[in-house]
Amino acid sequence: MSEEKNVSRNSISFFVRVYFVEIVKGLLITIRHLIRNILAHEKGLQTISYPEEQKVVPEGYRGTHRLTLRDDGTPRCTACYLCSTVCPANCIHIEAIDKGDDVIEKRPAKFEIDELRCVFCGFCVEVCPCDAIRMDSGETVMAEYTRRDLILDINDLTAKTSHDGVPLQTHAQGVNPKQRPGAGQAETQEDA
Amino acid sequence: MPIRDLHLRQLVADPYQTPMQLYPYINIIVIAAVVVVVLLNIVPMMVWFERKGSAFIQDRLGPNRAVIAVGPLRLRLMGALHNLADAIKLAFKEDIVPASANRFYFFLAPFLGTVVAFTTFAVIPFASPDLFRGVAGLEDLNFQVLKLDAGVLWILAIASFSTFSIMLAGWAGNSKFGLFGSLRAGAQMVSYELTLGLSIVGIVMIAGSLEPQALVKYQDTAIWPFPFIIPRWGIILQPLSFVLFLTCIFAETNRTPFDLAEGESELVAGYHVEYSSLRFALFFLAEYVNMTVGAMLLVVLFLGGWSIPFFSTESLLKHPDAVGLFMGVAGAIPAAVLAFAFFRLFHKRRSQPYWGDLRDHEAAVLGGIVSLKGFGLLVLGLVCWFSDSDRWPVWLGPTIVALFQIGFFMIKVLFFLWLFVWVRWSVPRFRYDQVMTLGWKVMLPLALANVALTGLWLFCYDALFK
Repeated sequence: MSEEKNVSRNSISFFVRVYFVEIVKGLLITIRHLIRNILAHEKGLQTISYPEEQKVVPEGYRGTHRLTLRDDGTPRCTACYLCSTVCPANCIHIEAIDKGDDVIEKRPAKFEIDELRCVFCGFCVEVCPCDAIRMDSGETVMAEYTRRDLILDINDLTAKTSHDGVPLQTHAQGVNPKQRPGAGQAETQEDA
Repeated sequence: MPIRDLHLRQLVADPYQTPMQLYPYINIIVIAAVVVVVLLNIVPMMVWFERKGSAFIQDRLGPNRAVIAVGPLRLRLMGALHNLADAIKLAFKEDIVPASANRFYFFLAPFLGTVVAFTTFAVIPFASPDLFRGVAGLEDLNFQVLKLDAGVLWILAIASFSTFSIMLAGWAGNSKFGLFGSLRAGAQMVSYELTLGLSIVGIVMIAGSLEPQALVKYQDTAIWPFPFIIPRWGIILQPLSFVLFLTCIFAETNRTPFDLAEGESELVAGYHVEYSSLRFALFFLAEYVNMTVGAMLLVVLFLGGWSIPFFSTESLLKHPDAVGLFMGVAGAIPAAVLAFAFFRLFHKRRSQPYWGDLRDHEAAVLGGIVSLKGFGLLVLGLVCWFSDSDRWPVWLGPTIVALFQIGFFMIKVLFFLWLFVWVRWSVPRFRYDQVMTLGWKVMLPLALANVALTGLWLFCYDALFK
């Protein structure tokens, strides 16, 4: 058993119903924008003239991946397959090989990321126990001529720098404070 | 006179001796060629208006990258070259014909649309027919392609054909989106054609003729000669009719706020979703040509066509030197303003280079060209004024007045073309049921009431003042 409920609606005036007055008001708004933009040449316009100007990416922006390096220049990655397993798009392919060292036992012989399949979720960064893979390169553009060129292998991934251009070996602090180099290792050493 | 009376052998033997009987046909061919060339040039200009104008309205830059490289200098021309790039791109794209499409109609629809759009211009007058009466051999130079006694009916009939092209395109593409788009477009166009026709009836009744040249000549007269000279333009005599006609032209050309047939956010591309490359280019062309037809028709019927508010054709013909001076000065003033703007931009770029290379100097080049043009126009105007107009060849005065009238006509048409673009980016789209309600329940009764009131007024006027 439902009761009738009267909902009062705002009544519109005659001139609004006729709509021409509203159209004229709209036209005046747009012509004001037009004249202001013609006279103040390129000052109020929101367009970024790429490639002369670049968009500033926010902190924590997930761009193209990069593999970080140890102090001796080898990649930090120990080929534990955690990133490959967690990736929802199955785009990381790793082949492990013996490092010849009893402390850090493995290293990747082949580390390929198919950037075309990647959904840029950042799970691989979160799951890596060695802070070996990061997405803070800030690269917004991935443009190549063939699909093959966007399957990045270990040489492409280790050659990148962080997005302020500083080479990653000397990078003291990443943009995201949670992604500082060696942050994970320092904590485990303190715990140990 | 029938063409079979001419001696073709004589004509072929001596083509420079064109007999006078051929002049009407030459008139038709020349004016038709001029009209087609002018139209084909208006379309890219309109596309540029649309892209750059909409960009500035929306606080963005718009197209500005396509360049013509002249040596190390790269001319951008504020994005106008993008039209050329688009035309070339559309010509070279892959032409996809869906496998299950109806091939005959698929091929026919864009051509039908374009041909119909161009044919409508046959009866639109550009300048007064009385200009060349005093010149031997050119007395019948009519600035229309065809002088039809039912010119307005020609336009209405041929414009109804454009509905065919849209409905065929949607059907032939064999896709649901296309079909929906074309059905909605067809229903909308048919509904608004009625009001289109009825809103013209008022001005036709007052002027007493269906021939466009006669309508414009009627509007060339003034209501009260002194002290205020108000011309008998359609917009003053029939304001409601003007508003109805304007709205119906928006609906006929599928232009926002009535563009639900090609609503980009709703129906992908509407009726031309299955078309690619040049076929799509033809639809695009047909839409802009239809818009130009609508604007020209509006100007001819309601804004006095080629007539200039305070000056009748006879008074202009008596003083062609003043007309020449006026055109020279009126052309030089905007050129001067534009050149000043360009040079100011160049000065700013020289102090803070934006590109860092020769592109900064582009503003100087454009400023130079525009100021040369303005200067040339001013010189021509002064030459017209200071030379002895009695010693001019007999065709020069009428030619100057013809240019003035054509120029004024084009200015009015350009204003309405800008209005089309302006309204597109200011008004949201109507819903389909709102469009139908408006067309049948509001526009049609208003148009009928307008016709009835005009008839009543004319009857009373005749009864009281005659």
